[in-house]
Amino acid sequence: MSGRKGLAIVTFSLAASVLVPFAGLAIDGAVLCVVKERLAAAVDSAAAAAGRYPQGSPKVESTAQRFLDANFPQGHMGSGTRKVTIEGNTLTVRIEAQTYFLRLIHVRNVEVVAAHRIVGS
Amino acid sequence: MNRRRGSTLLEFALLAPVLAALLAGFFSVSLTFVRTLQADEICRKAAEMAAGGADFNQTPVKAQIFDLYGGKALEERRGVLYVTHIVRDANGYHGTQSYELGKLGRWRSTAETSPDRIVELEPGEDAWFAELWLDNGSVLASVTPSELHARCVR
Repeated sequence: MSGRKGLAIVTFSLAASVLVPFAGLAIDGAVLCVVKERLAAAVDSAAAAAGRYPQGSPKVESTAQRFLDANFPQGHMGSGTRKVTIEGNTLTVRIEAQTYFLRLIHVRNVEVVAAHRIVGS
Repeated sequence: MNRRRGSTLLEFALLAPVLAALLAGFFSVSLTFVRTLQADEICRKAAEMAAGGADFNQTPVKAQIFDLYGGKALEERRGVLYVTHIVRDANGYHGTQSYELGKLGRWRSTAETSPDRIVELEPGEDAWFAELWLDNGSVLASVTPSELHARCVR
């Protein structure tokens, strides 16, 4: 009888110790999804804006940067340094997205990349 | 027998609020993530359509937005979408054309209050700005934001 007392609390504690880290993983995954989606939208807009200028013009990169700043500013959603590269007619942006629960297993950042082709309007 | 039943009931009574709070938290956070993605998608689509010359006063154009996931909230006036054409000329930044879908009267467009703070434009350049405010209607208002905000400049 006394052995059964407190069984539910022990079971719940054991289950919670497994469930809570998985919930954390799910939250980090969802945050990364939002970051990826926002970065992709920002790169898409930046590529569209950069496409107003002829390929090779210095304005292509500065325009892309300005529209990226408007849609996905430095540090947005706790992201780290933003690396912007234009190779040929492809705009690529890499950021280090911050994690919240994965850092418990020493994964502090996850690289998120988005690329879009710059097409002249 | 009666003492065992009593102990089980007591344990359940102790754990039930914790379980309920956890479940409500998961549900609320998940719903907020989904709505955030929907809001972003609506803004992205609206800015893209506006840049392509869409007239948001036309019913078929409005229907394209309302038919998106989460777009129903605008039709039901639980949110508002502002789409504004911003131009920079010699006199500064101006909103030259503006559309409003939802008309909640609760939020104001940034393009109306400070168009110069949306995107840095060079003189002669223009951009379309879509901004969405949505009532989150969360079951746990203390855990998740009560309203969602998304924006897209194109």
